[in-house]
Amino acid sequence: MWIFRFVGLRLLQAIPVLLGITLVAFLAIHLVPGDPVRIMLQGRASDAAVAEINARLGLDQPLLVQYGRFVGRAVTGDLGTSIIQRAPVSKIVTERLIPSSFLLAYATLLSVLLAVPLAVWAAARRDRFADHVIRIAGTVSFAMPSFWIGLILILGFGLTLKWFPIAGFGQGFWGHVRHLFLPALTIALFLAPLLIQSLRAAMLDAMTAEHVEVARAKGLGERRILFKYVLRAALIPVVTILAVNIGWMVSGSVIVESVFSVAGLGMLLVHAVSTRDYPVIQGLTLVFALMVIGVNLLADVACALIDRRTRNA
Amino acid sequence: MSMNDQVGVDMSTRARRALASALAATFVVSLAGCSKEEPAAPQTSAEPAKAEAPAGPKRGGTLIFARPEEPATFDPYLPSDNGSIYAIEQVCDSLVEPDATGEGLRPGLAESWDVSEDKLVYTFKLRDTKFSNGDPVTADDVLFSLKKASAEAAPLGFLFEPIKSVEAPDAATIKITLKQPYAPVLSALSAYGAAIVSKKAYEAGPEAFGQQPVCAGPFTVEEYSRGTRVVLAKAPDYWEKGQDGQSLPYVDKVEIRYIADSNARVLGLKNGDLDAIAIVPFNQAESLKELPELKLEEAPIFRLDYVYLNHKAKPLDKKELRLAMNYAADREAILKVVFFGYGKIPNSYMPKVNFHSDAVESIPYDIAKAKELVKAAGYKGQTIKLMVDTGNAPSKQIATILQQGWTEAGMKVEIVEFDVGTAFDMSSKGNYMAYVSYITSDINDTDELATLQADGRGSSKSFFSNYRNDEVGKMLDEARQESDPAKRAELYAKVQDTVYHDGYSVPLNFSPALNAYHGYVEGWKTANNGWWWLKDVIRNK
Amino acid sequence: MSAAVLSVGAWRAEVRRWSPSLWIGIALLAVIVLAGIFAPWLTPYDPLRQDYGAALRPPGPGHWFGTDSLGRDIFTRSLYAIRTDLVIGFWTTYVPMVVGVLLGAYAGLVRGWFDAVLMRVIDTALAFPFLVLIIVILAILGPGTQNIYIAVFLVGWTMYARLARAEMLVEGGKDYILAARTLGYPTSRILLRHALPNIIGSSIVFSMSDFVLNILLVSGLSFLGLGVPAPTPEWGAMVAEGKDFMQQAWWISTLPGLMIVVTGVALALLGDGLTHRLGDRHVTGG
Repeated sequence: MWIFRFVGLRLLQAIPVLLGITLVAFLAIHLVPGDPVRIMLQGRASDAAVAEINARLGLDQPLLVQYGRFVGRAVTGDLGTSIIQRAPVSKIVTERLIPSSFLLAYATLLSVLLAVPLAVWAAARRDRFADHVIRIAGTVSFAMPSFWIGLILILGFGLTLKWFPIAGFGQGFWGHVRHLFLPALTIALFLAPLLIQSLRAAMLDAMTAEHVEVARAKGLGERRILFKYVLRAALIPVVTILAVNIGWMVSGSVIVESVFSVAGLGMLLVHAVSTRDYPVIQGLTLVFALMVIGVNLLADVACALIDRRTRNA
Repeated sequence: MSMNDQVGVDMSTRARRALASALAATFVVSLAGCSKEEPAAPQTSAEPAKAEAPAGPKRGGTLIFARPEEPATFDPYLPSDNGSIYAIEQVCDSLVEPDATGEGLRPGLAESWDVSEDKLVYTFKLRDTKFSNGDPVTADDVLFSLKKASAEAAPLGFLFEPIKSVEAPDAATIKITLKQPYAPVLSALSAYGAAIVSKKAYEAGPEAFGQQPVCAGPFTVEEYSRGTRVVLAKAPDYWEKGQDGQSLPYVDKVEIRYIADSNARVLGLKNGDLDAIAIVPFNQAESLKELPELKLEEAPIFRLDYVYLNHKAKPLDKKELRLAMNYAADREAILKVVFFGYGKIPNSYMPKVNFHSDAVESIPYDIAKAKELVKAAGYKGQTIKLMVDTGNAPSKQIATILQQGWTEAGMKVEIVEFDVGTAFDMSSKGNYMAYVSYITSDINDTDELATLQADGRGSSKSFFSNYRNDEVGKMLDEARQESDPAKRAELYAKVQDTVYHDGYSVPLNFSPALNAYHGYVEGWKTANNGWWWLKDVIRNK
Repeated sequence: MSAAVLSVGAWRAEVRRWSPSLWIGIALLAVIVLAGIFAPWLTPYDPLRQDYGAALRPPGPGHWFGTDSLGRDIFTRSLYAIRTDLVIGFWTTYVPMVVGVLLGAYAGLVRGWFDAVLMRVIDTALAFPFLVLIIVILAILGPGTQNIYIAVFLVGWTMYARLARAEMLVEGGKDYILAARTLGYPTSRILLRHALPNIIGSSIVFSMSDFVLNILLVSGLSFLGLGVPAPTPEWGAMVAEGKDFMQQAWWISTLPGLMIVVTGVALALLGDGLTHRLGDRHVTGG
């Protein structure tokens, strides 16, 4: 099966990057000036306790041995123990993964829902009034800081209109949908302009492509052409843009989660940084990078599948 | 990340450490000598909802309560953060418990106790009660728990350092022998860190215990979702009885939600999604007062917000300069714009506990006088680094206000930010100049904090200030040995006057805790130690 | 871009080719920069001066943007913040750009092990969400303006290096480079004199959106409390200061945030215009 070979090849290519990210995550705890264990224990530690933790974290071993151990443990999913929360990092991170993934998926969905109709409209009315308005709105939307737009949404839809809750994750699926609407919208307002821009360009390219001209010559209606050829051709750039921007979405979610008090990975990161919980910071660094790599891999596979299907069609 | 909330964050770390060091440093017995200490009958059971109709309090229901911090663990021998401690207080009891106000003690899992003539042996009679898993509370569990509590690695371990041995002569008796007389031992035993746990459950796995504790307190943990909420359920047969003669708590369940954002907490309360919230930001208190269905609790707690000064860091070694900082501190402005009028401008270097004197004259805001003092101090334009906690908006505001006044008086001031942990660590190592922070006390006795903060001979170096005045030390010794309360009060007033006017620190505000709840929530009470007694709360709806 | 000095005539011709978005972008940015420079003459207030009697005043004559909880004039602080945000945004964009373009172009020219190592480093850096990496570096170094510079310098160059390398691979096969190589010109000369003017365009275009993202980054970090220390006026920090006052005093957060939007729009328009001016290439940030 070509698809397995494809995925296998991609995974092989990812190996140096994977090693790189483990190195960065590993170094996160070792580049801290001073004794990280003392900082972690916030000065309330006796020498015995410091020595014990040093031994437990293996910080008394040579650096290379430590790195080997770290990678070895990370492979089996053991990311150490949180100093502040006193629980395995892998467990804490897994718990926080759900709200964050929900938020990211929700934001992606909202931005696609926002972007596709607007991009179609803009492409159809190229260089006309609607196109310009959509582009300007996109530019403004792109320049809005997420923490600011989040606060505006809180003020407008939360505090004033009281339509949506302004914090938390909620209970049950519909609770999540209701609670995460404003946070997801905040991320979508940043992402949608990027999507619109490349979708529009891709559709304009597709509209002038040969087979479309042929279809047009055959007398197919513009609407038919739009849905049959153009939108399908634009699918790949959408997937690519979403994948390329997963890093920015995650970055955005860090701030958005703080603004809306969503107990996800981003809030965990900010909290871990302010309490200097290095094992958690280390684990999160790894998980975030894996998320980005994973999403990119998925996107590659999706693109390959779409591409093959388009070509076979 | 909400800013105002952080006023309360980490309070307990400090409080505990303050208390702990104080207790460790105080060996002199201040209790009047009597061999049998039968504590006053528990008043708590009769206390809630006294005004209620004689029909008896309403039972049942789920109280939904939001607070900004979450517990890190329910293992009582690990944490030193508010989030954990306040939650553990709802779930685990100790041999001795603080009373409803937090000012005194009452029996906990020990029904009563005797103290030997020489004050070296404390004998506790265990209450016949059960853990949440149905096992009886035995002397064996107590021995195990106290051993965990006094381990060196335990955050409050050193509190139990003066204990020589703990023995169980029989299944219902615990005998604690001290190395030397140590009056605060009962307070120490009432702390969260001395909670009694089920040995069997704890040994089965401390990590699982941290998630699902087995204690003998009023509540059990039904659900613990990190970052979201904890659901507490009424323990089956809690030993303490309510005013209707049945076991406390009154409510069936308490859902504690963690909402860091203060706007979200206040909105949730107003919407009716929440029954009660902890830590109302000062700037929103007025808007809550206007709503007739809500009640705002302004609870006095043992707390003083002040700027720590390091007397060893030049140029702060000059008393004149420290006084100049006091004269140029616009406390009226701080009380108005940061605390929105809540609190009182202090006339002391420590929180308002029992021997506080109102007679000590406070230092007024006087820039002209401050300028004179700056000159007298021989100040040569060195930069004064004023440290604040990252993300703590009120502290930042305070620092900004102070900076303006101090600059006007001729000083050069720079505001530096560090995260709470690092900042406190730096101050405890004496690696700082000035730090906007606070201190709290768990005990209503001036001796503890006075010793901790002002007695330069102690190990905390006068609570990291490096303040030393031997006259003060002498007065403190005298006060400790004095049995006449009037004379003690006189001595402490003198200490207060001396230390305060030595420019020990820059005191800012005696600030209260603000909590809010709906009118149907009855019996709500915040102890002076900062937590709330959820077992006494009635949800009358 | 190639000629350092343009004659008046050439200038006119150049200006005539500017698109409306380039015009508007340049004009808007000029207004913002000038407002930052001449802030002391544009407002009677001191950005740090607190006036407790005038706290929480709504926008109106006297205080166009209202006052914050310490009675400071928000319009004044927003103007002075231009100096903070634009300066940090500028350096965090262009220092990495210079380093990244040089490294990327060199790698694309010489290939070999240097290229291979550099690409792996870049792939690794780009595998992390940017903000996460910056926050982790700040967790190690501690917050503050200086450390923001260090953190962004450590990471920011990678995108430029990748862009410049890709361009260089294309340019490297062209006749003029091959000719220069046959003539035995030193690599540095080929790189700086011949190749650079032709490959820098895409980086300049990208730098405009990068500039916006860096301003968003700095204000975002300050919003989280990891950025510029108090009481320096900074937009993100000002938004954070108003967060708890949203219901009583919406203006404290809202209006400084608006300044970020306006600045971002100006830079985005400029970037948009440059894209068209420098050839119709589609460059997206990522």
